[in-house]
Amino acid sequence: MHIENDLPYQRFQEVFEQYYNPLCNYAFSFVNDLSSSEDIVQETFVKIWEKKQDIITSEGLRFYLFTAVRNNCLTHLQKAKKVPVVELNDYDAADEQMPVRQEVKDETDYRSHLAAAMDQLPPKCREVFMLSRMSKQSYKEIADTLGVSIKTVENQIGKALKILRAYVKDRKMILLILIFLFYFLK
Amino acid sequence: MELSENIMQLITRHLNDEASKEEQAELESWLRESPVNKQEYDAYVKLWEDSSGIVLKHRFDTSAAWEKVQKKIQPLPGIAPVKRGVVISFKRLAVAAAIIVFVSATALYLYNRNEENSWKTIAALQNNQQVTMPDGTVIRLRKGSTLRYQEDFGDKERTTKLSGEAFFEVQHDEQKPFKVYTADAVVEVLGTSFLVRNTDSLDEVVVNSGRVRFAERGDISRQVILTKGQKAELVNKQFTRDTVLNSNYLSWENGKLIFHNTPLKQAVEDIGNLYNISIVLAPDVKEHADSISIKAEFDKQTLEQVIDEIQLMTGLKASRENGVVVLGK
Repeated sequence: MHIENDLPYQRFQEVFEQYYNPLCNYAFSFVNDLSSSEDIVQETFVKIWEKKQDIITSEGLRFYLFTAVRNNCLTHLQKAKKVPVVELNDYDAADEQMPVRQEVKDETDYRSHLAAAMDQLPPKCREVFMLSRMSKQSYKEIADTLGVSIKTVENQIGKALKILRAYVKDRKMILLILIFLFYFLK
Repeated sequence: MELSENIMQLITRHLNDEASKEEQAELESWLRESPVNKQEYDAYVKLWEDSSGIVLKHRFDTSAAWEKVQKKIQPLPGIAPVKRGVVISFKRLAVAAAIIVFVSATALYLYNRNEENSWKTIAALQNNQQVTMPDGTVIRLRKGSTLRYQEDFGDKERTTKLSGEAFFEVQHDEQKPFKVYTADAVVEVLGTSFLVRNTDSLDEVVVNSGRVRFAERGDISRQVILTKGQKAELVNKQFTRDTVLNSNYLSWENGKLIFHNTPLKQAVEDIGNLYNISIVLAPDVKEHADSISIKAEFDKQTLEQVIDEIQLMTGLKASRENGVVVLGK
């Protein structure tokens, strides 16, 4: 066995092992499909290896990865838009009740409750918060990835935390409302 | 309680380790103002920590993905996809086969001759054994294990073969990578300390310091890189990574077992490993085994003493069935 002093390759593999899972989860938050998420992340890595070797050993790799995956997800979504996968007529009364039932069932589980709360954050706020928690980047890096100011990132993070805090605090109250709604809708 | 925008900003920065010294001081004085503030702050810290686990809600198979990506980025020379059909005549095939047979027979002969002449064997038969290699590397070999190394060890490279279990403290030498081969794995380092355990069904590497490359012997591109405090197992060509929680992987060497709120399942495994015995949990114990944790330290005690203490601590009863210790209610 001969392992040459191939630093970029070693570093590339380390980064892959470290970030593959968070990046796929990040991609999933956009495309909502497991195998597309994996495809997008794998392609991103292959492209970096082929075209951007210089970045592999640089400090900015993590930032680059999250930004590239985000861009590729948006491109993927745009392409997918041309093919209507979900028609409006798929939407029926049975589907409408599903989320409510789901949440009542999961109420006992704090984690899934918090997850549901995160899903319900306002879109911009959610995106900033999710990226922060998945990538553990600095607010500056997040601002650069999303093309907004640091101030905006800090504000959105603060907003997300406040909403989640209120949500966790009030979850007993919310449960009551949900149960009420559930009966009412039935 | 509604926090002011200013405090919220302090907390937000603090959570991401981005608060300046002044901001940090400001936050601390606010915390001292009232226990309610502290309570709110704690709630935010908890949210921050909990949410980072929750956002990673799916587990993607990193090793399978690496395998795919690795194939794409490093096409091996010589097996590039053939673009046009190739017709091979029988005659050519026969000649090729003859050449292959000749070459491999010669290679095998040379290889075997080489093997006989230049490999030395150290077997730890009765006791654990400590070996200092010519390069200063110290190897602690567990009883029942065998280590082989080339006579010219250290001249060009440092290659060893291990069957069993050993702890390596490798002298740093960038020019000569240190390699450990087992039946199924190759472990390669420059200078570091680590453990290799090899049984019929698995290979395990635990890294104590430095960096280690742990590869499958049949296909060295399948590998993981481990650093201090990490370990990995290779079972059926699959790598599983984990974090090293304690130093019990060295118990066979120093006789010490340290459990610090260790889950019963793990503790039982560590004890079994030290005394070379199978310890299993009875089915009714298994069910709630996750809720039992062990806090104890053992230093060169006998198996009986250890088992006694575990019984005392857990209220379980140990019985022996066909050489296997069963912990039941």
